[in-house]
Amino acid sequence: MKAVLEAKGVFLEYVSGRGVVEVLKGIDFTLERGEKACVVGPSGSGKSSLLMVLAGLLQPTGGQVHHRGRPWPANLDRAAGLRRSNIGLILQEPILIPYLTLRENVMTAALADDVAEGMMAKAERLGIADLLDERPMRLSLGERQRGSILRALINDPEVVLADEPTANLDFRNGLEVVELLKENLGVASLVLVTHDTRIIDQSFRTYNLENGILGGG
Amino acid sequence: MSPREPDPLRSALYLKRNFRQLLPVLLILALATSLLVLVLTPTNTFRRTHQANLHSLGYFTIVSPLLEKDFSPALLQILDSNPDMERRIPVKVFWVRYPMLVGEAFCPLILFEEKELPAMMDRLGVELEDGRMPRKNSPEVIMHRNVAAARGLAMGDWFGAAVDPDDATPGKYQVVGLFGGEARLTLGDYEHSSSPTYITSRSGDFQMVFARPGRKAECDYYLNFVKRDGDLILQVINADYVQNRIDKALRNLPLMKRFIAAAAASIVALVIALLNVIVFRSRICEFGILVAIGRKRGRLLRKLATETTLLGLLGWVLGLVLGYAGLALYNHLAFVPRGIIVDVWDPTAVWITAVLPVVSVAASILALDRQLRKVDPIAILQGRWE
Repeated sequence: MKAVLEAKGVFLEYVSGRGVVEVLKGIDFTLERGEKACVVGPSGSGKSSLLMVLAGLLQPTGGQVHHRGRPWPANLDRAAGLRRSNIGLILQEPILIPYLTLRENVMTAALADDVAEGMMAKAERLGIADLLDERPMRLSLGERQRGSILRALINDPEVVLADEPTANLDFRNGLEVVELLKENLGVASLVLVTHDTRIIDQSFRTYNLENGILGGG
Repeated sequence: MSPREPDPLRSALYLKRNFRQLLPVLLILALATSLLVLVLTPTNTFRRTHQANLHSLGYFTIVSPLLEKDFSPALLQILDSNPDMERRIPVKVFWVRYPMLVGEAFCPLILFEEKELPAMMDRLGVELEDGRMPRKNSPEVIMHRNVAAARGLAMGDWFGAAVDPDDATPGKYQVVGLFGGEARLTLGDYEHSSSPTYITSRSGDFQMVFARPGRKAECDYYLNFVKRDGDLILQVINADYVQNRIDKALRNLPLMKRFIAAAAASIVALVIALLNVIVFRSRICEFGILVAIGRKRGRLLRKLATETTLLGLLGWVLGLVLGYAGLALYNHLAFVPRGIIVDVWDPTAVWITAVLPVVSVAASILALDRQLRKVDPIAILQGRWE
């Protein structure tokens, strides 16, 4: 199978008051089409940074990230266009624009304006169909997280990158969100970053990231 | 086909739903615009007052000898040789001073033969609104209503140097009638002012020249260039002459207007740009997530620029409405009762104040572009943005 996302010898470091901090140390990672991968590790191990590098939001200081065999463009706007078309991003904090309804928030990511039917079908599966015209402040944290999942899935992306999507939810809600995410992925591949191993099951290929070094898989 | 969803990034939607948050920007621009309208528009009083005082020169031309004390028969013969002149009448011309917004204006006091007055008023399109016409051989005058108001004169009041030594108008006159209309004048009796016992008889005569219909330019050309022994012989006071004098007197006024507009625009632009940056920073999560999900910065800058422009235009239009409405009210309450002419609806301030939204929007867009370039979506998404 051809890899949709591939990290080759990725290094990431930054300079802080404590000197040079190495966040990622030569990461090799491959995500096949339809594959579900999970990266676990303690806080500060570099999980989120890895996800941001995979999403093209962070340029690695060494190595390369390839999307469908081609490196992420260095140009920010070209990378943004590619990300919008192919990557669905779910974050720990479900950031929604407060003055827009849930429907409008989802539309901020949509590539086309004729997605109403698809959006409604996905919203029904996520259990938020009747909340689409609500503003975020009227939604619970769990509902907002489902809204951000809907936003990530609106363009039927090839890859969904989820950064601790359950961190702010209780266990039951977190588990439900992960289940809903898996059920609605379609053919998309998934990279789930979490520190909570209870929410992952056998369907995930699990990696362990510790001190910037990726193991397992 | 699935129904189309409207673009959630459209600027009108943001402005509509965040109106209260944007009110300070809107109000500052509106208030600055209205303040400029209120300060700059009344300065047209200088030009308008002079124009009103000299409006009548569109109907006739006043001439006086340039080289002689009085009109000699030979000089009058030269005048009468003007093929474009319809008729001329001897007049005396003085000035009635009255307070303007700043300083004083001078309205002509023209003294005719009493029998000429009705025809003269007819030519000027003025009608007696209060009182009566001056009697023959009397110091009675009729006065433009606004000049009387500016001077604080009522019907029956006397004015002139003989009444008040500070008054520059020689002699003394009694107001017996008031008229309105465009031409600001005071009209009185020539015979009385020419009486040898009266001080105004010392002043030389002028000739009021009426051109044949449609021939005023040709008539004035003759008066301006007629020569005797190679010398110009007439001082010609017509609309062109006066307009030229007004233009020279007021040529530095635009300097002040431009300076005020530039200073206001600079200050307002800075304040508006800062406020827009503050509003932008309060929306930092919005732009962080939009960049993260793949919206291009160019599209986001376009959104910000459109929002800023719409807000700038809205503030400017609101300011114009407030400014002109406020000026109309103030004109009604303060200027009109004092006989001060202000062209309230003078559009000059519209063009001058247009610099406010243009400069403030440009400054805001530059500042927002800089802010947008500094947006670090990672820091925002991970809650590390400061």
